[in-house]
Amino acid sequence: MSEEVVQCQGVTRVYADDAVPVHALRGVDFAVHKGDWVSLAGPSGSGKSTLLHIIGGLDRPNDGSVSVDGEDLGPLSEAQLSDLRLRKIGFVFQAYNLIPVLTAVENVEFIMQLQGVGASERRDRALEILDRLGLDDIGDRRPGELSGGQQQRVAVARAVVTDPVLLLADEPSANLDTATTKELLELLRNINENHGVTIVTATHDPMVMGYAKRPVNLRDGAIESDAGATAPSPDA
Amino acid sequence: MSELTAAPPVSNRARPAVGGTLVTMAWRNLWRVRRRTWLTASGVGFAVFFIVLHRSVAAGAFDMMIELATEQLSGHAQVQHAEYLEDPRIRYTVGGLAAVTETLTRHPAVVAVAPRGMGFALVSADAEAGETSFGAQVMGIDPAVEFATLGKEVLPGGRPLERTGEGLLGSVLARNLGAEVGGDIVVLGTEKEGGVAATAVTLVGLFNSGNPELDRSLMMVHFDDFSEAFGLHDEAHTIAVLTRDAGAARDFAAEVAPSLENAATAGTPRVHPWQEVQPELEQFVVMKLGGAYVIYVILVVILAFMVVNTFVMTVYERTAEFGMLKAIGMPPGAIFRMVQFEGLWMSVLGAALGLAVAAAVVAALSVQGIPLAAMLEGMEDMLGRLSLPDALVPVFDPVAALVATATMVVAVQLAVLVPAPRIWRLNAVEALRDEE
Ligand SMILES: Nc1ncnc2c1ncn2[C@@H]1O[C@H](COP(=O)(O)OP(=O)(O)OP(=O)(O)O)[C@@H](O)[C@H]1O
Ligand SMILES: [Mg+2]
Repeated sequence: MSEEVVQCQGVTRVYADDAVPVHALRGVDFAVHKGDWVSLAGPSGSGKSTLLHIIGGLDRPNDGSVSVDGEDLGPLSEAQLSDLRLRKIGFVFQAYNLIPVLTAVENVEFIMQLQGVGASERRDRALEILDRLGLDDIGDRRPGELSGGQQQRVAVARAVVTDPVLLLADEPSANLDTATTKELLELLRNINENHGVTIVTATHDPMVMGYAKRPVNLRDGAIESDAGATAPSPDA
Repeated sequence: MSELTAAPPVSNRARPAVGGTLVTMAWRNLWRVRRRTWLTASGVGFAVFFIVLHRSVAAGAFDMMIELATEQLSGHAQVQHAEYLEDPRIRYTVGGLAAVTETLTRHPAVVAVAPRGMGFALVSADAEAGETSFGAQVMGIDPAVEFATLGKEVLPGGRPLERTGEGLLGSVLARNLGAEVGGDIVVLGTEKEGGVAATAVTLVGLFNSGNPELDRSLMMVHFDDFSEAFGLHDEAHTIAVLTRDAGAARDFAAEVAPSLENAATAGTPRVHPWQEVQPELEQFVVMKLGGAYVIYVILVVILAFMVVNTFVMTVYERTAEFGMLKAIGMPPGAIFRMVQFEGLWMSVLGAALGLAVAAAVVAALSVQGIPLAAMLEGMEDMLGRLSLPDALVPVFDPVAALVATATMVVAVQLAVLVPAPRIWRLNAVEALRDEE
């Protein structure tokens, strides 16, 4: 049995702030194995982002449990969740990934700085990762001077430089054209296959789904189909 | 584990060393909203500029005014009989004048010590229009040691008091008496022990102090003549002291008082700083400077509100950015520290601007000087016609510069606290969703 990086059990998320409560997730059971690339798909409002946020410790389920790298997120405080994100999870969002006043290298360095990595080491590692991801020529540019695709690739560099157990990407290609999306996906594939980084993406984009190893379809807050589902229901 | 980079396990991360980067980020963040930063920094700069300029010019003017006003007559401190200030009777004198004078002179802060006698008398002149008498304050001074500027400048045709047998009159008193320079003035009063005090002196000059009270009622004679006529023996009513610093008069008075106990005969004398002798002068200065402090405080408070507004906007506008920072694992405390550094840069930038402009203006003003008449408006009564310089040369006040800068730095840091809770409350998911 392969190691489980993410383990969700009965994850339920209800938004009750409106008059009619919205059931974003209705008891999702779901696991991500080490080295997987899961692509969450499904119509708009099906709960893809919600699930991704809960796995990433950015949001908490109303019911059910989530553990990442064997650590149960339920009892963790905000500060502990923040720390867990910093240590174990890399994020790539649809937009607004980078700190606008820092150059690409500085952005990549910054996350290591938050981790307490020493100055010379983090510079070396930042340059190294940008080099490996073919971004060495744009290292001194600030996000405003980068194209959307370049920004997303720098965001990937930032997300993986800390050697996370899990990379989460929500609509990473939403603002990109086809060619750029392909570049980004090649990059993610490289990271996933050659460096063993576990990835979960949430997207509408068929191209992204095509690259992922394991498409998971959500509908109305529940898993409709899961190509890699192995776990039978608990009390079958 | 993945081998993307040769990352060692992250261990020692109790306190991420992001300080330096936060300072850099803070500085760069300021220039994302250039216009607003310049506006806010200019506001801070204006407050610093105003306070420093005001202190450099006005405070200097008040100090000078106090010096001039005290040099005119009172001096910085006066040694008197314990009762004399309240009830100036001729018999309330300080005995042991020579010893007291010597004790005072030995004090390092003392510049001049001048004995004075004060008595009420009827004075009259041999006027052509017939003899008229007026009540007058007769003051005995020793021209050799007297520092008072009063009486040193006399109207044309006369000269200051130089030796015994001479007298000076206030210009109005002289006119009332019909006295003229060169004529005799007869003084008739009551001496210390109750006998008749009588003397006659030659009028050598008239003074015009600008203070109507003095000009109408004061006559000056030599201290020796006064002592003889009024029966003083090694004693004086007032021993006026000029020191190096009018501002330290209270301390000086308190310090010197005990040492006079032995020197003085006939009771322990009191040492009054100028503030007790001329309370109205101090009240005026306190009022004027106090009014200025109110303005400073109002200015700082207004600026603090402006800064609050700026930083509330800053934090609000950067919701998505802060959400992303929180999402990737930056603690809210670190985000807040970055905003604090933005405030610090803002205040330092503003203060630097304000100080530079203030220094330039002070330098420019010191070329020409500031016309004093305008500065000391409202002081005419008190100052009389002192021999004022035409212009005040302002001097940049480094203490004010430091205090104003520190005040603005603190005010800005307090202002930055206002939007701080939002950084902690901010939900990363919502912040990022809003942006999409
Ligand atoms: N903060 C919120 N308050 C109320 N309802 C919410 C909130 N966030 C999400 N929802 C609702 O939860 C459901 C799931 O949302 P979610 O964002 O997870 O969908 P999604 O699959 O990511 O959709 P999309 O493809 O449009 O990104 C939706 O019906 C959405 O309206
Ligand atoms: Mg979504």
